[in-house]
Amino acid sequence: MARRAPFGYNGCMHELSVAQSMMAVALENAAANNAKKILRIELVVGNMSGVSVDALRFAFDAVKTDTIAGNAELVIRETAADAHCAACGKSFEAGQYDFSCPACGAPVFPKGGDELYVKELEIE
Amino acid sequence: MSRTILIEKKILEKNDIAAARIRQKLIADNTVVVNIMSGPGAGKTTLLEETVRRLAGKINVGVIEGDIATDNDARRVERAGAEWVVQINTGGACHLEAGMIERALETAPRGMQLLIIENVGNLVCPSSFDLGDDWKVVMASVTEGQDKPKKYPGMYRKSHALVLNKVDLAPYVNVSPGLFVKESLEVNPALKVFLTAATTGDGVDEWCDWLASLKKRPASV
Repeated sequence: MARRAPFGYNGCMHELSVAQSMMAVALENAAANNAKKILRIELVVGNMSGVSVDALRFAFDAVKTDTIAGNAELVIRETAADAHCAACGKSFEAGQYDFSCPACGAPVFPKGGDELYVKELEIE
Repeated sequence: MSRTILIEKKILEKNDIAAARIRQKLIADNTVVVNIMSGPGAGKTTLLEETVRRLAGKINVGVIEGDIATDNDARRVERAGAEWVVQINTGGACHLEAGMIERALETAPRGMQLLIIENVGNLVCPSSFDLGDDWKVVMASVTEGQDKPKKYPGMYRKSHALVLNKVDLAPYVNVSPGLFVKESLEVNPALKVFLTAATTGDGVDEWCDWLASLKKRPASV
């Protein structure tokens, strides 16, 4: 008989889930360093990571309340994928929706830009 | 006195660690894991029913169904003859995470040769979460319109194969399967492409042959 998994979830949207994971990383590392407060959280988010920076900021405000990061500033460093045109040799930073070379129009296939990590914390 | 500490830790590290544990667990049985992703209504479950019908008796197939709610899909796939089916309800979440797969696998039988995960219908979020899968498949249907590969490039870039379904309806919705495939390959030229009409069975044999031929990928990938 088809089974429902013996557990359920109260799931949330993708950036909220990312914000929760990010907060868990920040709180664990703050605790390991005996922090009383987190003043700043710095993230690196690539433009191919599938995470919307605006949605992540919105979700951060929801998950920070009642934590030692309640007044923390969220700094997001955005990185871009690299593209290299095999036809004309041009190299450029590619956006998510760049599929062709801006110089010659040949198709390009960007690499990288999938970074998604907590870079540093400012604590006290 | 404030101080700055360097962390450099991946935000989805816990998900990635769970995905690595899934790979470790399934390597013992050499179970190939395929993660199928699409928007809602592309025909994932219908294709899976047809797939399970064709593969049953040839290879041992397990299925994990991911949906926000209901166990309709698990029932359908089970009736089609899957050896083992579990339904995960995400309760609102727009994607599956590795931790959910890991828990679902606690009840899995040994000896599965192929595990197919039907992700939550969504063309954006599922691509960010590694489920311990070996192969990612993006599925689309011609009725969604021709411009989707370039509107949702993340999913296409991360996938190994594209299944373009409902090709029998193409004449009615003014979409050219050939142009849809061309657009897809302009996003990711490495995509292995299947054209199917799951309700009539067209193209499903080729898709099943490919599934049956898949090998487990090295754990580092």
